[in-house]
Amino acid sequence: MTARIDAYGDCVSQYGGKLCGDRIEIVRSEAGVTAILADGRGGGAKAAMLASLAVKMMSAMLARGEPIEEIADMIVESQPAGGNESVDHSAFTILQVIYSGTIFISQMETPDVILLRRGKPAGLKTERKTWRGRIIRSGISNVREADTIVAVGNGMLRAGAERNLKDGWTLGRISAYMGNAWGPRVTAEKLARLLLAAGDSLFFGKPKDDLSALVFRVHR
Amino acid sequence: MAYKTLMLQLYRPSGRKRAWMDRALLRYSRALQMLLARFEYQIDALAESGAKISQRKLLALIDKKAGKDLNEFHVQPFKDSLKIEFASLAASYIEQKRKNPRARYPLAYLDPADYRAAVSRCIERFENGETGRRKFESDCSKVIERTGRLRSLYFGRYAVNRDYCLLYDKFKDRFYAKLYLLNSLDGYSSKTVTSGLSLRYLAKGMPAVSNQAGKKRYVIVPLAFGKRQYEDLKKALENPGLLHTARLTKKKGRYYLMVNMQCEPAPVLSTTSTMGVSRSPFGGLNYTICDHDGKFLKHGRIAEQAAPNQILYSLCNRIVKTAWENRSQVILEANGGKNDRMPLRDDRCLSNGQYAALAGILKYKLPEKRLPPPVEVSANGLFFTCPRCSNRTFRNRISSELFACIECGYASEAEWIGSENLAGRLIKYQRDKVPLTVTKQKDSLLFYNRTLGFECTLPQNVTDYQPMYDELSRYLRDLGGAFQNDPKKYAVWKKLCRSPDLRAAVRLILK
Repeated sequence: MTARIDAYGDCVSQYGGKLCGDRIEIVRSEAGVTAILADGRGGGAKAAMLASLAVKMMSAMLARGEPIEEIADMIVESQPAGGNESVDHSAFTILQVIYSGTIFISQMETPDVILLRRGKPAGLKTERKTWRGRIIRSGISNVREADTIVAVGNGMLRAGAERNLKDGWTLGRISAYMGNAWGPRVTAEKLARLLLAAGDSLFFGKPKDDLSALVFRVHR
Repeated sequence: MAYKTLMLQLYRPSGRKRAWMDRALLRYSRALQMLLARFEYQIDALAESGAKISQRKLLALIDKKAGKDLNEFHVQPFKDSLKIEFASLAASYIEQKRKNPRARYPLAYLDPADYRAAVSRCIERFENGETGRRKFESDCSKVIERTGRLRSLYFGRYAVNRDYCLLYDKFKDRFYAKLYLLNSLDGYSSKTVTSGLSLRYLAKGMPAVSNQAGKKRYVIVPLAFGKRQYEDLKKALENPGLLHTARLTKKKGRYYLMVNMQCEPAPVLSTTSTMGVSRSPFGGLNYTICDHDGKFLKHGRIAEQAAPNQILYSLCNRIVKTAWENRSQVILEANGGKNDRMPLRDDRCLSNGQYAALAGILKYKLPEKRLPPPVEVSANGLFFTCPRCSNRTFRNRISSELFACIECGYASEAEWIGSENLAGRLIKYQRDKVPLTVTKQKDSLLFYNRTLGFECTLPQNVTDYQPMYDELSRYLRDLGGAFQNDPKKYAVWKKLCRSPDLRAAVRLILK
């Protein structure tokens, strides 16, 4: 299968914040589309810098043709060692969709990636490994026509915290929302913007954390 | 015109007066049941005929013989009221029967003697398969409950020398009711019923109550009531014309006079916000207040603990209080909120019937506080329409508790969506432009609006549509508003006439 890949990602910074701690970068190459969503944890300038560093590392290593497992390991090595959550560091999700129809995922401390098959949630298996005290989840899968892949930062899951929602604003709810919004002609940009608008709305227009969303849509 | 009902208790009537009232209630109930039973066939025939029904037509059913037979029930003091109530019940039944062929014929009074026959009929219907088990149980319960239950006695007019009226003692600051319950045979002779009191009629000129010769056919009973009713009666003192019909009823051994009183119109306060009030999935009501630009101000829940027969009034009082504090125009769901698709979460949720009753109460309670009466808007899709972009699709409901618009991304708890939509509806209606469709014809452009009945043709190469707007303006003037039978047309006409600039009020749609 030769896929056409529509990818879009954006961030909304915390209300009143000077720096957005989340970064997204999308790189297109002859082989496919690779994107990184970096989520600076800890909230300080250092976390924001680490997120920027992760993005730059990914771009540079991709240009050299490095596989994403190597990129993920390198990003982890550039971070302070794991085990102490109060230390600023950058969580990340790297998504790579090859035109031949394969998807590679590598994540550290970010919410699971959502896969929608024609708008319906489908499972994505990942394997865990520990590297320098941090758990990296990675997986490989095949993509089909009309698949949609959604990745969000940690801030998105906090969006419903101040709302009176018994079941909260969880990945399941985000998945259901994306499924409802999905349509054959709905673009990745539209889906990403909807998700960010929903997160912002749940924070009453004043997000208490950075919000980020990255969406891939696969077309034949 | 808005009316409200004052509930006035007849304070400690003597044993003799109680006996008279009980007897009047019994006679009234029996007489009404006689009329209903006698003309059941004719009323059913009228229901099936589909012909237009008027009170005159129904009153005409009561022929001379029926009128004479009524006298055997000794209902002369309230014969006219009886006939009016009969016509009213018949009209109501006919309307219900035409909508629902299974509507039951009204039962005013079930004599204990007829109780057996009524139960037998229920059993027969069940055995013939006309009703299911649940309906059979419900019908039997109703029959048992109804047996011996007296109908309230209707006084069709407020008058000093018949039916009923109120009296006032200025020195004691007390109110009394004068009820004509006795016919000439039952009348009593009494030296004076007003000794020690300086009673005046609550009527124009406040004439004094004086002793009249001959048998008295009425009873005078002091009234007991609360502060609010007292305030209303004080208004009636200044304007007795506010008092209209009434009903005498007996509940748990006590007697009440339910007086219909007109609500006095007062200068209406100008509002600075809109308050949408919807049913809450958790019971009670939710409200949202927005300013006249549609900006959200606040929202909240209204829930009250009260006896079942008082709960709606308690909720209404809270709504009125909140609306008054915020100078809000209250907006409600029309038709009791049917088709609003509210996500039900709780058995305590208000039913559509209760919400509709609440709307009826607010229609007089809000004007009492000089607020405009509530506006009712369509409830269709209220709980899955986006309050921000008006995108209406059930896919906006992510779960029973979460709403997230798939068009603009607005997200909120689903329970607030109803009241938010209501609060913004009027503003949306005002902002919506009237559509004018434009189609290309051979060498011209045709502009039209089917609802308004407007059409105008311009050459295709025209760059300025001003001639079309001039024609529209002329058309609106010529219409003149003389089409009250077409509310949609009237609404569009009114909207365009009110707009200072027709161009801004119209939206061109190229087809």
